[in-house]
Amino acid sequence: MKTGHDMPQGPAPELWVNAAPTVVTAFDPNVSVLVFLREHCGLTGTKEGCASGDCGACTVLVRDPAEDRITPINACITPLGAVLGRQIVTVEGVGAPGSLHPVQQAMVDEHGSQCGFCTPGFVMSLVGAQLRSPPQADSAMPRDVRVRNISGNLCRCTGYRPIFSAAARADDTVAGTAPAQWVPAIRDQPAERPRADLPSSYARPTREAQLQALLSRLPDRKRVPLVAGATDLWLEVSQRYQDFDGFIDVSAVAELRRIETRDGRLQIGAAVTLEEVQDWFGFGVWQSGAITGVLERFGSPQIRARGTVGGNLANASPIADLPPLLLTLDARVHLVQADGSRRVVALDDFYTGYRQTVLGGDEYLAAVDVPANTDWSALQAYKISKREDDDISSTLGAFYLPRKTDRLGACGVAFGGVAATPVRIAEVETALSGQVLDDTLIDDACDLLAQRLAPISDVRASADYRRDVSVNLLRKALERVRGQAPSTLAEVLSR
Amino acid sequence: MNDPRTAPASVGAAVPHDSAVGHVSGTAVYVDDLVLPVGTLHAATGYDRGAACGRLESLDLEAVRGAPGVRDVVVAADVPGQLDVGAVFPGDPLLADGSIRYHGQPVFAVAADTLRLAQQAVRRAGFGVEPEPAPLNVAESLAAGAFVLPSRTWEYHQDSGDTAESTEAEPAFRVEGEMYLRGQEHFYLEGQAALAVPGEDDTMLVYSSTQHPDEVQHQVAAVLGVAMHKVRVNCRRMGGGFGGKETQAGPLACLAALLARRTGRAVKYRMPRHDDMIQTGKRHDFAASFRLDADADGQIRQYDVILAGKCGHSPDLSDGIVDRAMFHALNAYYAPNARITGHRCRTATVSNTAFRGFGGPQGMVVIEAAMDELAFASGIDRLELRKRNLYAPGRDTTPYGQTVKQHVLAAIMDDLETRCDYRARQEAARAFNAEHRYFRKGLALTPVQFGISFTAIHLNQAGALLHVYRDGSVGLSHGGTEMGQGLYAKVRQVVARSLGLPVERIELGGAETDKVPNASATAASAGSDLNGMAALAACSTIKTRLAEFLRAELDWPAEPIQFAGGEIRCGGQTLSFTEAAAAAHRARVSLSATGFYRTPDIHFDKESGKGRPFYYYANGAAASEVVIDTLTGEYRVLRTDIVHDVGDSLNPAIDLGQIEGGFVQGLGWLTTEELLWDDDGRLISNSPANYKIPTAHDCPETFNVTLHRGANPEPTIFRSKAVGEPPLMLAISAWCALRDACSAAGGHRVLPALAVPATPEAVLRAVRAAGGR
Repeated sequence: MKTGHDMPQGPAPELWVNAAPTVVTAFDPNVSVLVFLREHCGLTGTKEGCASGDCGACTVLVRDPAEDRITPINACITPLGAVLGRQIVTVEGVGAPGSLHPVQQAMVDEHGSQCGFCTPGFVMSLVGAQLRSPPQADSAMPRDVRVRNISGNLCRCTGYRPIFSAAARADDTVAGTAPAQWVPAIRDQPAERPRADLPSSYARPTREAQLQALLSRLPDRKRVPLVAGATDLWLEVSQRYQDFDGFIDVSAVAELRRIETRDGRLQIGAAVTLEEVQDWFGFGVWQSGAITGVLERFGSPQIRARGTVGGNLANASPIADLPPLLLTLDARVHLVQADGSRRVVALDDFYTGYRQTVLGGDEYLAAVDVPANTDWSALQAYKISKREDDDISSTLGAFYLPRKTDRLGACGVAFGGVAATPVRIAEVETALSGQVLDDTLIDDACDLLAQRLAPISDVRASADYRRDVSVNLLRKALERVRGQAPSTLAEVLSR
Repeated sequence: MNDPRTAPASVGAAVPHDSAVGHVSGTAVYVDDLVLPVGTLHAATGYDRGAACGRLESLDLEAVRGAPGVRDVVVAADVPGQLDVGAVFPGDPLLADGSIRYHGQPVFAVAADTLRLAQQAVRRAGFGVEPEPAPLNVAESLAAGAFVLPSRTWEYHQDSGDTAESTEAEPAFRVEGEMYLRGQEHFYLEGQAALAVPGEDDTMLVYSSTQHPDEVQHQVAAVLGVAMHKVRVNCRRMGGGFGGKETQAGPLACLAALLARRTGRAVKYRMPRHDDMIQTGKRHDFAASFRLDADADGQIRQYDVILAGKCGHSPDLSDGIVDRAMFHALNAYYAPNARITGHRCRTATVSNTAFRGFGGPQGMVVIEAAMDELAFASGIDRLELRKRNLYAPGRDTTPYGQTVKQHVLAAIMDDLETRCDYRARQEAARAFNAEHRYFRKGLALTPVQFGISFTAIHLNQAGALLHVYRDGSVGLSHGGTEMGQGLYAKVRQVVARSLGLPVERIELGGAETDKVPNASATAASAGSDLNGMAALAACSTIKTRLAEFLRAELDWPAEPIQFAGGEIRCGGQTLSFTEAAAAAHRARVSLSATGFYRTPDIHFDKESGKGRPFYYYANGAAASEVVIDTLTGEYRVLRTDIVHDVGDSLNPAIDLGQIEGGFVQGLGWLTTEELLWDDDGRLISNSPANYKIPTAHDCPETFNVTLHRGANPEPTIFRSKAVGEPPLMLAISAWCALRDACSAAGGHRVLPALAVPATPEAVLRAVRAAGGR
């Protein structure tokens, strides 16, 4: 192992697999949680459907026994290293023939399985949802919440209706009790926590100084990449069979895990997960329906539990969903070098080309910030994709359209999926800012946008569609500011 | 408490899937879960990641052979027996034999210590391919006249003699059009998988995730150059099949067996999803052009249609698939005159294969689109027009000469119309559309009439093997495979009912070629029809033997003997089934029997296009309501109501699951699942990240399914009907509803073309064509 060869060789790393303390002998950094469970532990209830985090057949729960925090993950794209010192709960840990968990029993009673291959994944998503949000007696869960709980699980047989029924029936059984009591793996957990020792080929620093020390010794970041959720990078391992020498996992670095206001800016650490962002903007002064609306459809619960803000930004994918939103808010990114020196760059200037940024070879992205006095109600975002849930945007339009009396304030207009990078359309912003919002302005802004966009055609959409729909999204957003008719299907259906 | 798990599990009860507990607990075993023999190797195939079609000039495998963990490498020349594994027609070399016929075609295979090492090794090959021009799509194939099999035209003229051209006056209405229907990736959640375990004396045991163990046995034997009896194939269950494991499972098993034979070690070949998506066949794209003539009252006078299926590089099952598109070209409608042409287009792409509906859905979408055109042109209400054209007594002959004997669709559609409040909701949708600037609702009610039987007549046969053990427990094998459709649960119910036992006393161990030989694929929705009857025949034989024994040895009266409640009863005599089995065993009565069934009264001549290919028809209708956003093309299916005919249901819970699941799978095909190739013939929708099957969100928010009451007039297994494929086509209602909503965006001045699949992009295009935003 090339990183951290000066680290002391401690005892072999450990984790809990269900209620069983399990020592990992001969740790290989390129082994996923799924491969470990199936091939090393012989637990074949967790299935491989795609090995790319798209189908959810491999869903298991990760639990930190200290925090009792539970997250559903796609075992196929989660490095084993990321769960060392933690607990994995698999389908075998929630129930067995003769002693089924209420979710499992409900799936039997409601005929929720046909071929059965996706079923353990659904069971784990539903059990995870109960553990994370204990069902209440006599409260019918809204359909959209039920949908969201299983939006990262594909079933090709049932059409989902019986799975909804099973979820409702299981919640009725568990309501009013402690959900963990129904899960043997948690109920019967060992008294002592698993050792947190890590192998040298999988570093998981907890402080920024440790991270910087690791980086300063790092010979080749291509061989030993930085990962957070690894939801994108791991495809190199699981789909293209690349072997890495090791990983530096930044997901536990305390300084990168914070959301805080500082110097008039709201600063979000790079290792904050998408799920945590979703929670942050879900209520209170920071409430933003635009952000939570996009995040609800960002990947799946399994992806949002692992994927991070920093990953979504630094990855520099033209189809990333957060950058357009942040671009409209004059966001800045904080880039830090191994020696601790820090520079702050406008997100606008961060992207230089297709999957390229100004990030240097010895730098990492530490945080993103936006003005703390952002008028969150003025932010709108529309995600367009072939499929509503768990799909990559063909276009994402983000609009910051604050109003000052009868005029628009300083506007932000940005799109994802229409160019080689997420783009901000400055001409349209200028045309809108400070103007009276009327039909003429809307038409002119739409015409201007149509001229400025030159999108690509690919498997997700044609250039024509991307341009047309982008223009129509701008129209939607502007008309919404004028307080006209409902602007989305969800809104029109809720009336 | 009426617990379905312990309730009397007679035929007609909503018994859970026999593996339900195994599914939910993760203990149900799939091929990938099998405990492996010591030293098992893992297979992967190598292919040129660039070329779609060309001559293989050179192949450098040195680095592959030298890669870590590699134990064996095979190319076409290493096949000891037959290289071609074409299931019905030749044309599918196991490994490329000098030419690359489609992008992703396996050129060589390796066996390595792990799957990861095998996959890493195959990436080290060097290919020299000289590209050769070849048709890559239907249009190029038609232009070049490149077909995998001859085209066929079936003509039918009932009202004007046998001449092609009618001498009557011009029709009151004529609508014409062209459509392009994209195919569909099966996306069974369990990818293709096989495990080959070599045995003594050239034998081979193959565990295969296959709908057709007999075909796998046949292919493995041919490839290894041994007789079929040297190969045993076992399939306990599949994680979904949908037609995609009918012929596509064979090559995998053959490569695993070949590598196992050479290395003397067990070899597992599980296809990673990416390889599965590019190397295995899919539902056929179809290009169609139609002309529909009708009288003033909207009754069809003549329907002419050309259906050109994109078969890929080889025939595979395309002969029957294009036939079935032709059979269902008129769906449930009577046409006194028809001219139906089917082309089987050769393209340098993966060979397309069976997929739930087997061509039928493509034929049906075209006529349903045409019926909407006719309604638009004639001003006749769409539902009324459809009802007017249903088969009815006196108007009951199909273009292929079969008489439709059972007329239930009118009743089903009336029932559905009432149940779903169709007319009132149509009014409400109109009001909604008038009220909203950017949103439009659409509604449609469409029927399905689907012919049941393999159209290759010889496949309509099945065998079963029934063992009664001396403790009264029963083991049953049949040739049918379980892919989630609940076949085993249903056949178990049949046997339980026949022998008067609880279902727990019946064990079904999986499809095994050494138990039941020469079994047809589990396909064509015919699984329970065929295997249920074969199992019943085996039960009858056993019951007859037991009855003879009881009369002869225990002096029971010559009265009818009943098998019920775990007992055998006759007159005043009663014996438990267990006691009877033990007694019969002691008396040296054979307690093992085979059963056999062949579907009666079916025949068909492909060339003339005449016969009675279907034993009966399964019927159903669906009404769907959608709403679209005319600014983005986004949409939702708000509500779907279905009334579907399954005869006397063997298991209403399983039938309901097939109907709901089939509908949503069809909905995926018609809406979000977009199969796309690039200009060089490479599949670009090649992963679940860019090929989108429905999620829970896409399930209609309100989804009501009713089973139509009524026995199958044909003496099928307990008068039930097949249910696997027909419901998929109920989703056409949602596509027609989307088109209705697009038309509404322009005030119904135009009925715009709408692509299949109707992605948001396609909907927005249609909205604009309709004169909307």
